[in-house]
Amino acid sequence: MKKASCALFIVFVLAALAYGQAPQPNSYALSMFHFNIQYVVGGLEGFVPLPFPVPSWEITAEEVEDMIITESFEPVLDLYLAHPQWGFTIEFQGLLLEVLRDRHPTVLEKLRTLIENGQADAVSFHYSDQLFLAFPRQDWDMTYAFNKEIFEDANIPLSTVVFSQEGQAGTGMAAAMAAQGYKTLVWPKNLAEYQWGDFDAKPYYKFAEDLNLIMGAKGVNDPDSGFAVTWTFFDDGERLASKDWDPYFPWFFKKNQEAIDEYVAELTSLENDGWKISKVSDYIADLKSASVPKAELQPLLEGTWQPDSTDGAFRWLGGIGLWAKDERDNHERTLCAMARREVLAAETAANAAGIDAQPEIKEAWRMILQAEVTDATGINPYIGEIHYGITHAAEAIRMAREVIERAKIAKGISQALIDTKAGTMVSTAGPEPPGNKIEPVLLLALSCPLRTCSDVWSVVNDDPLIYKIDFQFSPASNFLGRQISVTFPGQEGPIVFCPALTDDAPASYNREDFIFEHFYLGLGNGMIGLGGGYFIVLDQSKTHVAAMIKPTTPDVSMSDDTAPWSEEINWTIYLISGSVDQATDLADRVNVHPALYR
Amino acid sequence: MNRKILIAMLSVLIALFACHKDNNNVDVQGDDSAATDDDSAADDDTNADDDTGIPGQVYDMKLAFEFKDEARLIFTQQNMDIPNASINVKKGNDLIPGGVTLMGAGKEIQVPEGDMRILTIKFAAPSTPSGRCGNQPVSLVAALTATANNDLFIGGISARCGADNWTSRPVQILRVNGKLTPAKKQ
Repeated sequence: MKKASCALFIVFVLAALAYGQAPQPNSYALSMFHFNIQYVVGGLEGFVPLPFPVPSWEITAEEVEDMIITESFEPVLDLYLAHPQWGFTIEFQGLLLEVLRDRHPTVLEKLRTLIENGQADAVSFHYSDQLFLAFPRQDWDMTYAFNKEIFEDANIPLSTVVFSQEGQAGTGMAAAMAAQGYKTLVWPKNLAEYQWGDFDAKPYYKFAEDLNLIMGAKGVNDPDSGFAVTWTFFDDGERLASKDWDPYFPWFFKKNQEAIDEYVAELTSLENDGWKISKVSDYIADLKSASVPKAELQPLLEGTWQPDSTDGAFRWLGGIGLWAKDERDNHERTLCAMARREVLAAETAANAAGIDAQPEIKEAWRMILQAEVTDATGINPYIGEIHYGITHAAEAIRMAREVIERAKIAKGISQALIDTKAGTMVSTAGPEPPGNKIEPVLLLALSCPLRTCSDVWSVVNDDPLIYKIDFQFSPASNFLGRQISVTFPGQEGPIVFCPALTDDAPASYNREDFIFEHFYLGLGNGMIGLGGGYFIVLDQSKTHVAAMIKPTTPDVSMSDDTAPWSEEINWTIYLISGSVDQATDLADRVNVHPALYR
Repeated sequence: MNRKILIAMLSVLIALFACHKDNNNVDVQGDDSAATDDDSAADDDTNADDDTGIPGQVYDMKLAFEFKDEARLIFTQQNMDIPNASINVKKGNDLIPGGVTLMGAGKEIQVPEGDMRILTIKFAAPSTPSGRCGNQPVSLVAALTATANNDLFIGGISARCGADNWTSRPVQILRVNGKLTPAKKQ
């Protein structure tokens, strides 16, 4: 008996020692391969900073896309086809699936086989790798519609797991997810640690009513449930098989068998140690089967997956990159906002006039989704990527305007007021006269080195009181005049804004719940509170940059560090004194469902 | 690590080149290129007929075409209409032939709430049997944007297969940019 007790004790000690490495039996090795067919959006032509073409480097968009598929995407699929007991999670946009369908049918068949085998989660939340956190919900609804169509056409089942371009994640995504049958959001750990500090991850969290959330790239070792997680890959999928090269360097972006073998060896070792090489959806299903309770989620603000190195939303909405000379974030993003308004107006006008314009309106929406691609304004966009965004938005506006002109002719209207909220188009004498100019109500901190700048205030509504503030920045005298900014003074109180994809649902957050020094919000509907009954609404057709907030001050700042120095820049921001619902209504009328004179 | 080094090297190269020259592409664009081209700085012709005899403001734009090729866009503008335009791309590609002058017409669109101007001009290109449109002609429509009163226009020429096809999914949107420059008096 004593001998048996001793043996049992030794087994217990060994088990306890092993627990730190691979708790049994519920140990999961998860992965997230984030693929982006728009990695070099528009191709590499113009990329090399030499005044003559370098054809072997400056390859076309199609050549870049094909290279991504053959050198990085297919090798990952092959890896798992060779190990049918392993599962994995792979994320890509609908546009990648189109490339597979149109030019790589054998690779598409491999993907389908892996899904049918139960090995792969095919994760996709957007048709284009767009900055969906910074635009109204309708844009996401459209991207989902395009995505659904291509997934159905390619006969690829869409996973209920969600991960996004640049790891975009926000609590506002819950309603959109629930509406379309998504179940589990993979939240990037860095975005949580930036707000909470270091923490021990729980197996999963309660997200909205019936959804799940797990912390991507964050290991789990939960003694209460006996579940453990390690992440074997959580990065750009392009980099696994290429030994960390990316598609900007086609000379080096090649399938590297050594890199693949290293990863296979790592997974084999984990498997031998008792880890399940699993896809995310299987992990969630096993948690539910084991009746593991979901942890409560602390408050989280929306953002992207590397806020430490990128400064979050600012990187795509005003932050400058390596190719500073060409970047123009506000031009690109405001043009996207104009395009979406124009297409909404075209749809309204066509319906009001009874003309059929659905084919071109659909194509215009596709252009907008492509224009909203993150890479047009970050992380380090080069001129080809920047102009890709601008060209697509411009063409969307051109197409939409032609529909509007047709509709006006059909209805016999020379000048129209098109109300996208009411769904009406009526004849009008023209825009209402501008409001009366007044002295500034708040003292704003304007910064415009090497330029002159001013803020011109007018009252555009009396009840509630709404001020329109037009900012004018003159051209600068040299390239050091790229940065322009404004800070609105706030009053003590919570952070109030509408989380992305919930344009009509303002939320309030206590500043003391967060540890960051500052945080940037993309403001999908343009509204954020200043405290004391004041709110601002960025007119996103003029001002579409990120808003910076801090736990230590209620002030709100906006900056564009990419403002072309030789150009005149005009911004418009509204200030409203009223309730949060009135501010949300104003944001709706300015950015989400505007009325346009055409 | 290698990638980061290469990026750093590239950025140094870019900076050096930017110091040497205003921009790395055809010398017609970029916010650093405040100076106009030597041969297009004339502002002595603000309201003249072009050689077609059509009255209006004539503009002669030197465009960067896909960054390292060049194009010349000449058009006459009457208020918001552009009744006459021509474009000639130096090298071209399978969608828009090099060295051939294409004729077209269009209009200026304004987006007043966004303080944005967009020049839209339609052209028709002949077929290139070995190209992406095969034996079909190519419909080309330019949409070039400029903010406020700035003279740098950035945008694209959407290429679609087939005659008078202005609305389907483009084969490619060719990126162009250049400064709006009044034509020199002939």
